[in-house]
Amino acid sequence: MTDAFDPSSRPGIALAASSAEDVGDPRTFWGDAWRILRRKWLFWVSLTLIVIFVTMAVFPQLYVWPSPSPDDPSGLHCKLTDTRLGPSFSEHWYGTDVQGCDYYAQVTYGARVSLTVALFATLITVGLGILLGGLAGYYGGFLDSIISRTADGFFALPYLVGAIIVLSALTTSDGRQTWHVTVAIGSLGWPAVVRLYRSTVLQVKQLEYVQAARALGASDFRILTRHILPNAVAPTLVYATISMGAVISVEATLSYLGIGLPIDSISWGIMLQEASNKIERSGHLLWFPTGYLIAASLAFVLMGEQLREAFDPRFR
Amino acid sequence: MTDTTVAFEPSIRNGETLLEVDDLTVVFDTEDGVVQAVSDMTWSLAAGETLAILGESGSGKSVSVQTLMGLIPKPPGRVVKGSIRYRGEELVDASAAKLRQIRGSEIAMIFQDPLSALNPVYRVGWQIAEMFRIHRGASRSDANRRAVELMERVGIPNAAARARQYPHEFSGGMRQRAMIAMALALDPKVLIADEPTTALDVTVQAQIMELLQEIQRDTGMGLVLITHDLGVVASVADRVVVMYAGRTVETGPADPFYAAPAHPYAQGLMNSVPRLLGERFRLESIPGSPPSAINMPNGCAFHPRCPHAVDRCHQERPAFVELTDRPGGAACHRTGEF
Amino acid sequence: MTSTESALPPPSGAPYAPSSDALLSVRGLVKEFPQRGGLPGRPLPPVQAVSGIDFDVPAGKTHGLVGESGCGKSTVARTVLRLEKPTAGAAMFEGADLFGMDRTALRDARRNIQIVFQDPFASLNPRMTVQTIIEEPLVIHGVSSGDEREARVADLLRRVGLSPEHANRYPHQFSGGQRQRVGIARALALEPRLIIADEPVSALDVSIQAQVVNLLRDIQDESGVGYLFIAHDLAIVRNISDLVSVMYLGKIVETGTRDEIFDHASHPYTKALLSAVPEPNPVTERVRQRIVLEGDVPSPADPPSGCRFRTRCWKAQEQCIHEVPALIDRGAGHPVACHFPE
Repeated sequence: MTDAFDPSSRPGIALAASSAEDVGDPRTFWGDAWRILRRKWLFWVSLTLIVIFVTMAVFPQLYVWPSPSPDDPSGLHCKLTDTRLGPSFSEHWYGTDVQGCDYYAQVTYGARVSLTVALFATLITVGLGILLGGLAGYYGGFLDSIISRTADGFFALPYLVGAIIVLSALTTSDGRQTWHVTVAIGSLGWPAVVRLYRSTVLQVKQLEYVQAARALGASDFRILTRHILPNAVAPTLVYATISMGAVISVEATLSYLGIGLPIDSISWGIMLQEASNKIERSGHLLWFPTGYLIAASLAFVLMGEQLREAFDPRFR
Repeated sequence: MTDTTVAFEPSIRNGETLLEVDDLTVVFDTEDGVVQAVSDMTWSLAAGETLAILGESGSGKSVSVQTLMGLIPKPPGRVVKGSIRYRGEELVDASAAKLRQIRGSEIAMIFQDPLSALNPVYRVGWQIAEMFRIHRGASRSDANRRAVELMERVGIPNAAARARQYPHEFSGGMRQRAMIAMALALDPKVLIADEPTTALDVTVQAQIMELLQEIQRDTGMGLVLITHDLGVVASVADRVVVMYAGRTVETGPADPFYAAPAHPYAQGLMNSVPRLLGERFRLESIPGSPPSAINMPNGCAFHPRCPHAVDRCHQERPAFVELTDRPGGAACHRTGEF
Repeated sequence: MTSTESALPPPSGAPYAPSSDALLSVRGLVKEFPQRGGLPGRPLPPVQAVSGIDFDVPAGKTHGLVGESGCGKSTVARTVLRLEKPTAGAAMFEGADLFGMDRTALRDARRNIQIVFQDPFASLNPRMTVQTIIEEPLVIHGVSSGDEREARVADLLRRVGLSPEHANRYPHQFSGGQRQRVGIARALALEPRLIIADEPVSALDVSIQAQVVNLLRDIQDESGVGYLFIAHDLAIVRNISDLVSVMYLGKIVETGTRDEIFDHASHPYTKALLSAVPEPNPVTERVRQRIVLEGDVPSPADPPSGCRFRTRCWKAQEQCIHEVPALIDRGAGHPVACHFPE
């Protein structure tokens, strides 16, 4: 990765501040990236969507206003007589589900599980990937061989098969839990991050400022954290953002197939599974969670693309 | 146009003006505002002549030829005024088809880094032969034969075998020779060399300069050498143009220029070149650094670094005037005073 | 001048013992890089980047190591700094063996040996401010604390001709010459006794080169630091060096004081190099006879037998194919590795 802004790549102009007096205010890599991002409408679209979904996950009360009463403690107006009502502007915006509960509330609450799984699975993926990729790229040799070959092995394993194996290994007599799915997805995603981060580390460690730090007597830990990580992490951050979107779909896929989240969780995938055999008569049960799923997933993928363009000097 | 007409036509009259750059101003629209890459640049090139455009990085020395070769990305680049004429024909607003025809076959260019200018996946001979196949419609075997001839002509030993090699198998000097061969393929009347020797070792630099000079003698083409290195072009340049901060600060015939540059910047540049001969002085350097293109000083752009600057230099941009004591011109308020 | 002279090999050709009064004394340095590929059981021969070289850097003096690209001069710098593992040889820094040191000893030695790199764009971490970059050596070696460090960085910035106000700026806000000054300030932070400068000015503009060369000379005059100055530009080496060694294909072909090399060059390669350097004077340039070398530098994976320069030398004889010329004084007053010196 070269630095954020390289004026020499533009013919004939010296934009780099040069005389000692007009160096200007500090401009950072992140500052430059922000200056690029804020002019992109897709960035604002995806940011808005992400903010909506994140607040939906953390404070669903902002979006649904349950009114608990003695005969309706959940406040979700579940009336079995109202089963599978269609959407209407007056009462149930998104209609109701099989139990006659408000579907808008259900779909909104579904964001929490989806985003939590996506966030933690991505954190596991990126954490493992940066750790192993950093070690492999920096030290090379035997360590690199072991880590890279293990990663290759994971690549050879079909994703769903891998997820089924991990999930069945984790599932105990208590049944499946949310964190099982998180760990399963997270533990299968890291090889891609290892490859990506390892290759950036290989590039960055050749650079003279890393050599300069070594010549100063800096420890490997210092070199890895202060010199390599900040300069190599941008592509991985982009990947992580896109991966958030992907994990949302993967979780839904697993849940839809019945090997994901426990059947009583409120999640878009579970809703899809339940709706799948009622599509002819109650299409709304399928369309609303699907729409949310696509919007949430797309928001992160789009954000990742915008970050990639802002971080990568070739796009500037 | 067929080969026969090219061969029999006396292609260039010696002394004929081939290229004229007149009052050229090119700007770039950047997020920090409009940046002047070159301002009011004027020069011309005659057949058989060697013009050296001297300047440091960011001086705008390459911008005029990049503009005429269509290498300026538009946007952000823009020609705001001035003209570039090739044999009297205006190029600034010429059609894309017209420009394509002139570039390559009439005006050719070689670059500093021959490795990135050659395609790594094709054999060197094939890349040179391609020029004949595409532009001259030569048959495959004919094109290959002529490519090998050209490679011999530019001093690549064992050319027939070398033609079958890939660019990475060539040394830096050989790659530059291959680039020159490719540039010469269509008998251009003007060759532009942008820092042709900068990436090369010193012993190879001399070889490449000698080759360029020899080819020019044989073909009578005009040669534009763009460089930061005053030494490398000293023996070949007929005239020089010195650029600073996007403006021409001095022009003139090479010999009197090298003997006594008139502009303080050119003087400073000459003094900061370390010498192999003579006394080992402390190097005379120009203090400070070139100004940023977004933040040009008022008046003369060189005044913050100039040892001779007076009040007037801070306020008023010096006009370009003819020198009185010798041919040439300089843009300095105090020309002739020191 | 006594220390300068004792830093050269003895004229007799006797074994070149590590010099006790030299700051850095390198003997028999070899660095080979294994090549990947080749058939099983028949690996490719290693690339000999440096093939047994000796040189000294006297305290407070500059030894210029000059040669064209691929001659191994930068590998010498990296090996002496232990950024690469030497294949063979010894390097004594103030009497201590750099190549035999463990990690702790090496860390301590690195306080006294610093490096300035060629590329001012690549040698500074783009995510760090100038303050963080320059104080990093102080932090790593636990020298001084907080406020004191800030004052020290300000002082270093002034010393290299930059303004202390720029401490909180990032490298890409500076021009090439200014960045190189930041790199020099970082190298000076621990007040080292030896600075290895690996092509420190070749990426800079001519007018800026002169500034940086002058700065390096001023720093030496003030602090008495010794330089190993690696460059391909002979004119710059002449300007800054006390001693000069010319490298070709991993070996030193000629070594001596600056005047001996530049005024009485005796190895054909040195002569060719000198004759290739252009002077900015058209009148003398046009009549000057250049020695034009034939062909290219051979591959260091398969260097020629005998004298490595013989494939391009106009004086090569039968003897040059079979016999490696030793680096000894052959009557020129300084050591030359040539069977037929001038």
